[in-house]
Amino acid sequence: MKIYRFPRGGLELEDPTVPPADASRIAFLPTLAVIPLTQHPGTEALPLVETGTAVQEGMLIGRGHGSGSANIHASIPGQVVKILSWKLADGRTTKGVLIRLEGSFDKLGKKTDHYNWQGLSSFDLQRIISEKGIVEMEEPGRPFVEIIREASNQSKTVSLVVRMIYDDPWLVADYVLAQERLDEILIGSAIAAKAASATHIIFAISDEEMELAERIKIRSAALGVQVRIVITGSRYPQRNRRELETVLQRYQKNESLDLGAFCICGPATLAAVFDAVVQNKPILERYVAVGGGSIKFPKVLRVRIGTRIGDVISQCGGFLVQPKKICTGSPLKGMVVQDLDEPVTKTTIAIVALTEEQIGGEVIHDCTNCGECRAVCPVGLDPEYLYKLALLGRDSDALLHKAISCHGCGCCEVVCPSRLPLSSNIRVSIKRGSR
Amino acid sequence: MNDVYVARKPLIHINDSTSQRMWLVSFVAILVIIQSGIHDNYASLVLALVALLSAVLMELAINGARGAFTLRDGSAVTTALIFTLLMPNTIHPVIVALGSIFAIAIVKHAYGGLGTNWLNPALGGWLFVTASWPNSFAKALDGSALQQFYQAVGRGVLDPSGSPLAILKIAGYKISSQDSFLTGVMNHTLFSPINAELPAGYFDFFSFSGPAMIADRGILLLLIGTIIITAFRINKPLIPAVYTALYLLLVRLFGAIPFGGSLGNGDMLFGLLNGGTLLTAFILATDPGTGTKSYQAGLLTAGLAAIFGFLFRYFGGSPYGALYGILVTNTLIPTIRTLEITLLYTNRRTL
Repeated sequence: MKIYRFPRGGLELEDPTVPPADASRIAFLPTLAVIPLTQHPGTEALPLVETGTAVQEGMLIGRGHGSGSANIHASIPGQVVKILSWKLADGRTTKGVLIRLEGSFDKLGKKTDHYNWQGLSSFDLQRIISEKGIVEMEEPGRPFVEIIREASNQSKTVSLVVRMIYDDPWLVADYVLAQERLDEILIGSAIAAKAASATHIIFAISDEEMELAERIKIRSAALGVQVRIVITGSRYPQRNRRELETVLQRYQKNESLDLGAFCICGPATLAAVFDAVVQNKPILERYVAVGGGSIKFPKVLRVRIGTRIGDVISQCGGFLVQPKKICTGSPLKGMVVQDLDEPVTKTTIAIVALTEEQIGGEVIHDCTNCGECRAVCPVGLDPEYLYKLALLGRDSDALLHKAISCHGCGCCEVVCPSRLPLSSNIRVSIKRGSR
Repeated sequence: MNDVYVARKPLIHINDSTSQRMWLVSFVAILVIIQSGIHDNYASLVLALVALLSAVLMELAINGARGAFTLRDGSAVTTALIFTLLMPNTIHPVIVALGSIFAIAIVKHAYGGLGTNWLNPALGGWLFVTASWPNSFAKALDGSALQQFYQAVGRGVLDPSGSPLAILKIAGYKISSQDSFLTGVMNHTLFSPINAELPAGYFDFFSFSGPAMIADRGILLLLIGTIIITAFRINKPLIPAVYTALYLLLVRLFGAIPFGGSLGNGDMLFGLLNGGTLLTAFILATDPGTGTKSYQAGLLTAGLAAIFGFLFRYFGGSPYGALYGILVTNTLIPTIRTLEITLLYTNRRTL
């Protein structure tokens, strides 16, 4: 089988501190859950509850409004203790609903609903997906309906692309989910394809997961879901939209297909679509990989949204050594945790407690022009030059030298021996230059 | 200036830091200096200490004036030690101190510091010393194998096979008993079965004890150092490979001609083991600060440095032609980089 790879740059990533990819464990229910009203790139959801309100499991507590905003639901039953406010790692301020666990669960431990989705129209499916607050279950957490609509607006032909590319070891939670909930993911893909009026369902799978590809073939045939499997390389950032589209375009050329616009999502999103449409359930929990050099017993946990990060870490035995930094998401694209009371959100794919050794030092030295950033840039940019232009504030010059092509994969910054914030500064320069 | 906020990511780094790389190169340089110091009553070590102190004090003074502390990146120490490798082991320490100060203050910092200098600072210091005190520099090399060789060639001593070792022997160069013994063993075990013979004299170059550039006096540990540097991925391995391969090819093809030999009879081992060739190939040619942007252009520049180095040494009569070869290519680097930016990293629609 042909393996499709992006042509240049990239990195082979390995990390021995990721949790084992054998199975997930159910995390304890939080006695206090902090549900942020911003778990998406758009504006904060409007709070529908106030202090003292009794909430049910899965109850709508925040209504998304405007582009990039999604509905927010209570992940546990209980009483709203307080409406909090804090600053997110990306600089935005958000409100959050603090719920104390009380009362009985409506979903947990109860017989699951099984709604027939085949009779629903594309519009109805989109409405359910939107109502249940389904977002792409990784940063930045774009509402899935917007992703569907964007693809539909781009072309008459749409292909749903499920990225099961594990180019980053910290996608292990996604991998475990794919192993454990494959049938739901496959049905979710059929639902999403119908919602997007997609003509093709493509599972893009990295070449190291041929066994998973084989299982998908067998299960999709058994479930009557027609899928195409594209085997890709596993070099980071193969999973990024640009690199994925590059290989998909080569695939469609080789196979003489018209795939049209790509509606790209991950397996966790499709499992959430399944839960929303078939089981009438919003996103209440997610698979989270908890690990890093500082964690005693790294695990993949199924964690309720709103569980505090400190509680999740203590369920993994706490710290082995003092962490230098803790981040949510992969260390490559994740955000620094400011406080262990910060909650797990819909987009928290991992919680990583990094040791000083893993960080590799943070003392910034002068650039030595070693060229390692250029060697790994998958877009073929000169990050060193763009960084220097950004420092000088020459943003229009940076755009002239293709800065706009940078999609922030961070490869340049990961390999920089001088520890320069290359990718971060280039993104600043792009933002300033495009004003 | 910056009113735009983006979260810093990624949060990890997977390569050795600049300072770790600098310390590793410094470690290799120290190994070479120690090997040289064993045979000269530690004079090489004294020179290294003088260069080191001068460089560190100068770096600190400039740090103080600029309000930035750059000593911990290790580059000043590395510059001082590489500069020491380029010095004859018998040169006056004051000259070494001045050269080291010049390397740091003028070549490195006058152009903006680490990574912004157009010339390798150690090489700049060497150039400063050879240009400012040519007699002292030449006197310090009195009796060195290379000087004896070039003096002999200057007097018209030639050899029909074009062998530098044969010319050296005519000039009165003494081969040690250890070399004779080791050559005998090698010839007996390795070379005689294939009807070949290794001339005596090469083993002395691995542990040269006469006056010479310190890099040439510590060849054995320099060879080990090149392995360390390559194994730790400090340099781009194809650059020294291209440099060495092209240099040796040229030596083999044309290296015997200036010394009375014929085409294809050049002595590659002699070309490799002295004149600073190994140091040039593995440390100076791979210096990222004075390198190109792309690997391909880097290989091209390495090739050019090898050609220039060969020409200066074999047809220009300069024992340290390899260093002049790097100097010439260093001067081309700013132009090459500008060209690379225009051709490779500029939006073509705007060209």
